[in-house]
Amino acid sequence: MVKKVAELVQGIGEGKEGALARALTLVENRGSGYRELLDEIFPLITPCPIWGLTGAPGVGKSTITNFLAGELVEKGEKIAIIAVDPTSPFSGGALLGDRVRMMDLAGKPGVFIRSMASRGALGGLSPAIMDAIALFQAFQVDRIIVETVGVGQSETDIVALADSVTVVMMPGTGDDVQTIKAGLLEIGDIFAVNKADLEGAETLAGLLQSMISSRTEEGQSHQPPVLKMIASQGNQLEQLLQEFFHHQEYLNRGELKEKKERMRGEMALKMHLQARFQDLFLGPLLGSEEWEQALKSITGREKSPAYWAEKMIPGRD
Amino acid sequence: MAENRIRVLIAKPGLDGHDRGAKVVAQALRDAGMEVIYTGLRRTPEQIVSAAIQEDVQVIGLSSLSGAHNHLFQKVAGLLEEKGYTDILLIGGGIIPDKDRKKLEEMGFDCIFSPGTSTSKIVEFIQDRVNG
Repeated sequence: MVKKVAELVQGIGEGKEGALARALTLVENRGSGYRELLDEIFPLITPCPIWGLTGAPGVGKSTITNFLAGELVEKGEKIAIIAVDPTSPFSGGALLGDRVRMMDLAGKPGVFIRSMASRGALGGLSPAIMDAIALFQAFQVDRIIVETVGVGQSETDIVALADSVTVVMMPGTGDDVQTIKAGLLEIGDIFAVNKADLEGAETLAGLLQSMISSRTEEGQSHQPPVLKMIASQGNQLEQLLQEFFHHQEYLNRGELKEKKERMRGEMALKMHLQARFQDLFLGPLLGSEEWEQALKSITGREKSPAYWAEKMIPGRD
Repeated sequence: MAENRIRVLIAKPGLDGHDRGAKVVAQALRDAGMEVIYTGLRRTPEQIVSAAIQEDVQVIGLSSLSGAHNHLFQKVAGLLEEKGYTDILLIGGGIIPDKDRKKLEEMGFDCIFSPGTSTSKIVEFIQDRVNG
């Protein structure tokens, strides 16, 4: 094993923040030895609940996380926060600003905050998030809070990733059709209407409530609650924490927990297979002689991209 | 396929509410392809160093317009040294007189940028030092 990887594994086992931070960078960069690292820490993993918060930029996710994590740490828990912000498709850079609203957690023992850029993932979550979760669980945290900007694919990804998802919304962002269109109703275990002092909060909450009731099947024991809150004033945050706990109890009672575990495993496996496809097939092809030949043929209208794809990776469909 | 990105922490230490400059720099670095973590206002040196370690950044940029830069910047540099993170590139900016600038640079700061510095100069400095 590479010496660097061995040191990181040992450091994580000993609960060293510096080693964990370096390991997170290694898996994010998919740097040399990252597969080995993930393989080595796998036996160290102790599963823990994963809570997700998603919603449009500025609805209050980080303010809510600031409270939730603060309360949990008071109870003696060790908390990990993964805060995901979008990567610019133009520059590849990102401004990760979630720490700004987490002022109460700054430097607090027992809280590890890692800001992650979405990087190349096509509108979805970065594959590295699954790996980051594994590293945090090997670090023996009691709970992981994942915060993602709810745009496009990342919303559906978070369902596979988190045990309990709160969708955070605010009034004034569109009518009921927008809400259905965004697919938010399908992913929330809890709904939070934040900034409830703004006009339209009542209407939004009522709308959500009626849409949820009409979706909930008879006999289904969990009906997602709708909370109106003003997170910046601390209003109803305690209630949200309780709702997260309720949902977790609900999961623990049934077979859902195993189903979630399976979903997570499946997603991680798919992401790693995709990464291997990139490395082993797509990577060597890019810029190769055959690649150039194919492009010439496609732009010259000789053979189709479909033809070339099959030629490059032969086999039956 | 490794994909390395320069990660930078931009921080405002102490009682100082002016962060226009910090945000301009943060945006310029983002536009240059870096991942920039902004701490927000009024952080203690301890909080800044803790964030830098958790985020595993290669660069810390401190901004101060309050006049307390000598004390606060030194504290950050001292804590980094104490914890063994001397490999982090340490830069600063804001309203900092020439004599203090030299002192800070002698003390471990890689560069203190004065008002009027173009953002492209800061970008180049970081890219050279981190990649070069």
